Amino acid sequence: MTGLVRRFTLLLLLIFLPSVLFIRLQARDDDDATLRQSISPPAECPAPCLLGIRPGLTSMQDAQTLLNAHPWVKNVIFIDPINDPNTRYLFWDWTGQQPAWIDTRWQGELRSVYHIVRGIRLQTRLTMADIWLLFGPAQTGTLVFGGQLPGLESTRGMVTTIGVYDHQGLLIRASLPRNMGLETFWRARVEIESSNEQALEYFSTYDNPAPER
Amino acid sequence: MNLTRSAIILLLLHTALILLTRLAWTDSASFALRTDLIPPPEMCRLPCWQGLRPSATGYAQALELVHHHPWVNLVRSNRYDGLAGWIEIDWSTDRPAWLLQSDGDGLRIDQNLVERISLRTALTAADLWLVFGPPNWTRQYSSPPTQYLVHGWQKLGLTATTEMECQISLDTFWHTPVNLTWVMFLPQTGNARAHQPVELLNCAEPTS
Repeated sequence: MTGLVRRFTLLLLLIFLPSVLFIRLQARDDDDATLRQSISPPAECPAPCLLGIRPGLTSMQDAQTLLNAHPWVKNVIFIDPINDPNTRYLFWDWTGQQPAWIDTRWQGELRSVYHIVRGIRLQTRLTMADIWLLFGPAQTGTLVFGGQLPGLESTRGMVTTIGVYDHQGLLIRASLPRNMGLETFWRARVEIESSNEQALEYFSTYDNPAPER
Repeated sequence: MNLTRSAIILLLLHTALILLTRLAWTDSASFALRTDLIPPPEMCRLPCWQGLRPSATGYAQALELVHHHPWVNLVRSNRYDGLAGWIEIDWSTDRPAWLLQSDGDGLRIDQNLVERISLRTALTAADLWLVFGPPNWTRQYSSPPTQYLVHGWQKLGLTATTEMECQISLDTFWHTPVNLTWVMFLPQTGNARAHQPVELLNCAEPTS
């Protein structure tokens, strides 16, 4: 009798386990596909491209038009720094139609120099682990140690990791305490920057250290 | 009669002498300032300041140049992430009197190049008008009770920013020290139609 129950339990387990795994995997794949699609450049807009804007190529005027027409974006404002006649920053709020991975507590930020967009920065709810699951580890990048700038002493004891994802035209940044554990690394919230080719190339000259180092 | 003629001759001579002395002084002072601010074109293609060319001089070359410059005492280099940041300069006692110590600006680095050069100075708008003539580019930023007037000389890639209160007198404008900035080129137009300070001293919103 006991043998029969044991055999029956095992059979049920074998039936249910693949179902659960299948459902879980499918959900993960769907989430990942949506996420990947919303971050990655679409076929008609090769990398680097975010929100239809191509850093290094799109003019400031076109970027303003594209942002004003974008369903995720509202309240676009610009700021011209007083001591820099060629730089313009655009900031905007989110409409609510944006994907869930965007951290709406922060405005989107775009910077242009000499009328050409240099980069678009978005704060996200994604962790370093999410990025690795989506795109794999960044092959190149760099580490920046904080606290070196006057006025930025608050960053002392912090390290910023920058990963380059060439295919997506993205720089992925996360600021972490120095000597953090691996768990902190994986859970760190990331900022993504769709950046111009020169910047991507510049950071690509570094080998990315493995996280355990 | 002779006395009157002599008096007139003496007066003319005296006036000419005073004018000559004044002009000679102005010319040499202007020339020195001009040389400090703008190099001869054969030495460094404009825009250029002390061998540094915005959007052309690389980060490493800029560091090398400022390290060996006689006006420089100390150099602090900070790059936020390797690609962008600042080269901050502590000036030596050999610097010209017009150049002031500043905690802030120096050389702004972006894309691994010197993007712009910013200096705090004791120069006034009047000094620059005398040396370079009236500017051909203007921007105005109003943030009452403060306003900023940025006057530019497009050929030189040079701007002079005056920070002052709204509704000041023209006299105050001419005597207020300016911050200088060099960039590769200025945008085609500023945001203010007028270049004359008298029309800009009222904290008005930019016209375009």
